[in-house]
Amino acid sequence: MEKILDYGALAPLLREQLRPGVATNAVLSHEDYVRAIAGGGLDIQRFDGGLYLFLRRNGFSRLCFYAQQGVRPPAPEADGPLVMEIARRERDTALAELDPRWEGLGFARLFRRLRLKRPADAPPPSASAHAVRPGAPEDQDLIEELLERYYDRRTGCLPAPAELAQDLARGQVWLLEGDEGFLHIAPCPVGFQVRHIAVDPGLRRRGCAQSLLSAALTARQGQASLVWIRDDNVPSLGLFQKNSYVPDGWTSSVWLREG
Amino acid sequence: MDMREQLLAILTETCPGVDFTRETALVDDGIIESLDLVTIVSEIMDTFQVELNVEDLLPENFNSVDDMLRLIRDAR
Repeated sequence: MEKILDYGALAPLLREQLRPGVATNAVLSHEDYVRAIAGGGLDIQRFDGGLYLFLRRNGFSRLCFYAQQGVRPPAPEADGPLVMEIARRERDTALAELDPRWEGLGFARLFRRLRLKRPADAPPPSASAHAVRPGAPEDQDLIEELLERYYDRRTGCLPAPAELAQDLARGQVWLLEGDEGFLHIAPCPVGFQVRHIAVDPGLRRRGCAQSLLSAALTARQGQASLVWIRDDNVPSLGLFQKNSYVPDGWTSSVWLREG
Repeated sequence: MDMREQLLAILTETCPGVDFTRETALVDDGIIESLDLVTIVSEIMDTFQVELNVEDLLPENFNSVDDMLRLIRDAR
């Protein structure tokens, strides 16, 4: 493995992988790479016909890959746990064909997610039955604690502290009064994406999640939105489908290789 | 085939069913996604013999056919 110390060293390696037929789950932006390198958290592994990128996190690495057509990626040279998410549509067959290879390399598929989309012209949401307030910068510690409580740190796509601070400052977080639930969004090309939504287990099935979602949808009225939901999370799927979200053909698989 | 026709052929192959001659917000409207950008850039580099980078994968370079043609010309 090689540590990447500046983006200039990485750029030609990425460019080299941009060839017809390449299969990849590396859809990171230039800013994502620069941020990872600045934090000292990006290693790579070159192999014939491909490249692995290891984004270091607290206690695990997120694995991204490029594999040229027909290439069987080798075992990643990493000691700790590796988490990999592969998003695709039915037509992205090159990615699907790699699934047996990941299994052969010791990865286990943890779960699948479905992507749902709500069009910009969807009917307005129902009124909030519970009091909801916008998050503020001083809520950062609380939101971090709620994220840790309700999401797996390896698979929950938890925001870095700086990212969360920015999202709070931009009004992208809402909290239930009493701080027993929250919703977090982030901008995306079509409008915004619901990144996290959680309610205290003791308050579930009372419309709290609907209140949070209604607050966000009302604040971002006129924008389309996306959400990724585990395909076994029936209550959450029901909530979003009730609010005009429909599957848009994207699915993702989350894989783990324990170190 | 001229450059526009070649580009349209790549786009139609990558994202079937889209009228690329009319759309002007391909990325902003979610018609082209990040994974498609990787495919499109790979095909553009191969077809037009230009070098593009991850930094070029910006919505403003891919929202329309004209944006992509400009990107290709700038890279030449």
